[in-house]
Amino acid sequence: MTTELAQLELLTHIDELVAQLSAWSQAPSAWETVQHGKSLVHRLLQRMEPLRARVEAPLVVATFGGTGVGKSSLVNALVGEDVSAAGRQRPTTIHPIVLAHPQTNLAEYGLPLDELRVVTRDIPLLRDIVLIDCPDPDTSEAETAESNLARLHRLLPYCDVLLYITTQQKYRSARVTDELLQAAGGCRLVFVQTHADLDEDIRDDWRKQLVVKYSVAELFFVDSKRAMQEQQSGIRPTGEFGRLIDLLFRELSAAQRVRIRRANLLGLVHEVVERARDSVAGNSAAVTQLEQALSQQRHRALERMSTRLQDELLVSRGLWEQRLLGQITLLWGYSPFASVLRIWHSQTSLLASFTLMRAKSTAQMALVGLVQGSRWLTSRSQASEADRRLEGMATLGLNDAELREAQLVIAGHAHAAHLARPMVVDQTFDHIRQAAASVQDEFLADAAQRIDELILETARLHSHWFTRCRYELAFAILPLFLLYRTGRNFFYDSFWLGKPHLDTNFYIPAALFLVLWAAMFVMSFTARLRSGLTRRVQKLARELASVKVGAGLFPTIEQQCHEFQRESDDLDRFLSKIDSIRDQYAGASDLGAMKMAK
Amino acid sequence: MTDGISELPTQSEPAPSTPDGRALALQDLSELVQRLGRSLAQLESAATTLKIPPLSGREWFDLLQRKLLPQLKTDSSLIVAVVGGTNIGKSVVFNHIAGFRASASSPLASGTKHPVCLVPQRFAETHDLSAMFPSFELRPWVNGDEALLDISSHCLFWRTHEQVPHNLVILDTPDVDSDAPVNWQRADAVRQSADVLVAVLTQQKYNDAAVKQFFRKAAGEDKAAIVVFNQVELPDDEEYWPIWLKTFCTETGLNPEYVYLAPNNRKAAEAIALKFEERIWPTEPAAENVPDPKTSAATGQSAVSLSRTLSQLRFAEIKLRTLRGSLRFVVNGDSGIETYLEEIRTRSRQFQDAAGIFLRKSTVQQADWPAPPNGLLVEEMWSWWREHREAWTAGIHGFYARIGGAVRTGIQAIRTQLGHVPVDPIEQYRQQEWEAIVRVLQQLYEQLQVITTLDNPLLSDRLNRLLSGTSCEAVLARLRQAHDREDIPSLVRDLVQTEMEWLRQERQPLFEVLRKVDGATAVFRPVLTVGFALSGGIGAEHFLMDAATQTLTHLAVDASAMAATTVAGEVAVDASAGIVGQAKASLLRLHEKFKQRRETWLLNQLRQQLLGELLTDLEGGATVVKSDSFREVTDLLQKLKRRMIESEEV
Repeated sequence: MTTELAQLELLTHIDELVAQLSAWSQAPSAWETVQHGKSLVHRLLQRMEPLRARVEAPLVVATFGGTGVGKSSLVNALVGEDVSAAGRQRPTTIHPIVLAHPQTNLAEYGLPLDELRVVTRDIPLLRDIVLIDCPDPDTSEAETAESNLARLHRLLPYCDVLLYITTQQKYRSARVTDELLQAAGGCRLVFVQTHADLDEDIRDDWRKQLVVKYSVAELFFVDSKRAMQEQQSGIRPTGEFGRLIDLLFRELSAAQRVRIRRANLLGLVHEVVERARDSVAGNSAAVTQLEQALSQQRHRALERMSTRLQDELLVSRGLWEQRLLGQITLLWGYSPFASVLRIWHSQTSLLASFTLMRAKSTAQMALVGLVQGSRWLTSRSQASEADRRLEGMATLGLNDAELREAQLVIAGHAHAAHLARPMVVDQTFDHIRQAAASVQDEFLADAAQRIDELILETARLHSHWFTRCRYELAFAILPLFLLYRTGRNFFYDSFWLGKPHLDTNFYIPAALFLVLWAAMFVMSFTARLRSGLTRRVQKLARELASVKVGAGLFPTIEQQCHEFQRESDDLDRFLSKIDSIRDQYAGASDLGAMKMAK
Repeated sequence: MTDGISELPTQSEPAPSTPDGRALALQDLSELVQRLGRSLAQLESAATTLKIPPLSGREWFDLLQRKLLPQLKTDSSLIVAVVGGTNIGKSVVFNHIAGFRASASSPLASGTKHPVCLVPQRFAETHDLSAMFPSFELRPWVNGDEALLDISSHCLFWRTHEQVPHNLVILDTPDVDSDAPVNWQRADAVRQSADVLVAVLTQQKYNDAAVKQFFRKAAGEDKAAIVVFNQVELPDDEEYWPIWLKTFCTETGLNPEYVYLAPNNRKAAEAIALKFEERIWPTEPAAENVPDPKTSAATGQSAVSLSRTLSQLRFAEIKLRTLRGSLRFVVNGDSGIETYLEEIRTRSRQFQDAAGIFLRKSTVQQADWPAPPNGLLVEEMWSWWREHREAWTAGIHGFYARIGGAVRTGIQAIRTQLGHVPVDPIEQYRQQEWEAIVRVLQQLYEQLQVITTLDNPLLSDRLNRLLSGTSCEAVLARLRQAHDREDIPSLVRDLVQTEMEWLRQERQPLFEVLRKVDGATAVFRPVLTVGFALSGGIGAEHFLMDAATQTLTHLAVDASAMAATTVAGEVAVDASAGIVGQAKASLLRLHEKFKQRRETWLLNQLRQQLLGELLTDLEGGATVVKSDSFREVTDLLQKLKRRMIESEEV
């Protein structure tokens, strides 16, 4: 019961995996390498459908090996009858033979039956398996349709288990080992050395060669001739051949079918997903480079903008003063000196509004402040949003040449990273300008806010009660004196002492001096405001340059880079999932298989 | 027992032609081949830019190097090599020829990794073995196990042996079909040098693709062959071997001189006591003469007979035949030098085509190049004019120019004070030009990217490198640097001077008119100066100065056209109608010239900075077919062909 449950669970896991893979392979990607991987996986899944359908049917066991190694003799000895012609001419088997039990429904396998000779025998071995005697892979120099190699390749997709048969002469033939490497991905393997009557035992050396790529359980060294004789005289074959038959009965029984097929399927999926991952991983360095280039471009743009902003802010000293004074009068309320400052400020505001009408620079706008600036902007022009942005670009942002340079470099990197060309080409110059403008808008909004903060901070710095007291008191000296002087003249001197009233000779110079006095204070105060301003602006520019902006000049490409990372993570996830399924359900098996690299 | 063998050679031996004549022909061919070898080396180095696969590794070239060059010049020995698939008993057969365990045999496959070579006694005194086997590192033989060593360099172990017949060199070789491709390379190298191949076959391997391929090459080079079927089950296989051999011969084109069967007897093989049985091939034509299998099995030949057969080979004939076979292969249109030359031609043409794709002038011309800084041009023209005008006008103009200058300076100072930052026209032009350059570059890169999609493997690789972001950045930086180095004012000055000189020389009447105009304007000067001053106040001094110049030419030239005609005489009368046009044209010409110069500069820069090596390579590659070495190889090849035809007729 528990094994059955485990079986069900395994099936569920595999179905989930296949569903995920299928979904993954159908979502298109703009990266050529990723797309390649997806097509690979897609193709595999298509091929696997029939495989999944006949999961409970008897296993297909096929012989595989060079010509003359005794594939047909072995098959004959297994069934105890000369069904497949074995001979001394090479190659012997041209028309492969399928051996099956009469009750086995061969139609459901979809085998290319017109190329095969079907032989049905009612023997115990064939109850559990369908046996195919395949042609050799090593007599054909080119794979033409009629060649043995092509016939073999047409049969291999249907095979669940390969009996890899070799001899002392052939166990290191390059062609056969290469072909096995191609074929073994979705198969279990049984390794057999034949010609035990004539050849020496090379299994140790053979194992050494095999373990590099395959997990090897047992190697058999059989004498098909003797086994055939034994079979025909009604004895069950003894020795190694007997053990081989035992293995086939034991490991390929009906109970093992699902497990073997799932293991094959996992092996196949692993192979393909790994190839897809390799294809993607081979590209990841280039994508990283593209990402670096993108962030570099973003940085460079930011740096340029902040340098330009800094230059312009430093030029617009008048505006700074004006904003600062406005803020300070707000903070100070209605004290005498504050009133003087307010008067001065309203004067300069009037002038500044003229300046503003001429101010084209975005930096100056930022300085004027978010609220005023935008109000001024909307009222000023009926121009479209895009126009405004583009105009803004000219003064602060990146000029066309710089944008084009960035575009060139990024296009180069994208090309090297195999990003589909449309992704790059669609980025027309206007797109990039728009993107740059929005980057700049974001930057400016940030800048304006920071300028506001800076102004508030500076204003606070100069609104300390101690500073205020000093200025107010010092400023009050002359007005108070004048007040005292006129007051004394009016209430005391003229009432009690009868002295004449102060005349214009006094008031005009007094007013004049008062104005001068006020001007002196205002000047000294603004001078104070100005001190250290350059340093602050520089600091602001530095801060702005190091700020992290959301999107760069190439938002689509940036988006694609993230996508790439996600896809590559997906593949890694699939691989680890395959590994975990395999580890979880790997039962001890006496069958060999291709190794899966972790 | 040996009678049969000693008679065998005569069966197929044609009447020997004059050996002296052959030697002469050989000598002649040898000289040609030596020259061919030298000029091929030159051609290869000339053709490196074409990036075609190297000569070594090409069958015909290896034949030339390993067979023809070393063996055509000396009275070299007959080279016999035992070859075949892995683990079928090559070393066993070799040991039987040697008569002792010269090369270790092992039950494991891919055992023999290095050739073992037996030479007759005192061979080294008369022959240079290393020249005979140029691809191998020669090492003296110590014991048979060395051949099994896993050394990465190609070694050849050699020793002398008294049983080796005079003028014979016998080799055991690595396999041609195992999973160690280095073995195949070594076997190929030995095959190319060899004259006689002892082909060891088994019933399992006689029809293997790798084996067939190897022997097909040997047949193409007209090697003599001795087939030994090893591990034969006698007498069961007696009826099969002719079928095997027939398949083998039809598949490979090889025609063996002798055929032997060796029984499957491991003990005898180890003890070097295998009995090789000779068979007659082909069997069909002389079916009655076939010795009864039973008798021949009974009179089984001893191991001695193999080496004896070798000693009875018709050395001179076989040598000549294999040399000729190799030569034929080398000069053959389908397999030899011709294929290399054709490859060079094709590739060269591709290079030429590819070079044509790049840098069409139109790319640069399509970009709307900025107009030269007009103000600068005009200023330069004025300053040139100042030096060439008549003294009295110079006085007046100079005076006003100083006044005008002072006024302008003042106005500019005021405007600067008002917050107007003056734009340097040169800087502005430089910026515009840079924008145009980047535009051109962008177009160019787009074109290049389109080229990569054409899937020209020759270009795609290099272009991809060229198009990578890092390379883009580098190119931009270099271009920028070069552009910043450009001294635009001096370029303008230079151009104006040459152009004005040209005007003075070639357009004498116009020049005279202008001189008159200058005189006339000296009178109107006060008015113009006021105009200048006012214009300066408004802001576009350069534009206005330009406009002023134009007005000046327009108005003044028209006004004084009459005066000019009297001065310039008859020629000018014809041209007078076009004087204004001419003046305008010359200014346009100046613009055009300047633009042209800048475009040429950019074109050169792009060549250097962007395409650089690629273009040089492409252009260099396109000329390989016209090189001396290419011609020489072609000539030598023709000569060689003629000579071969002649000698074959003899």
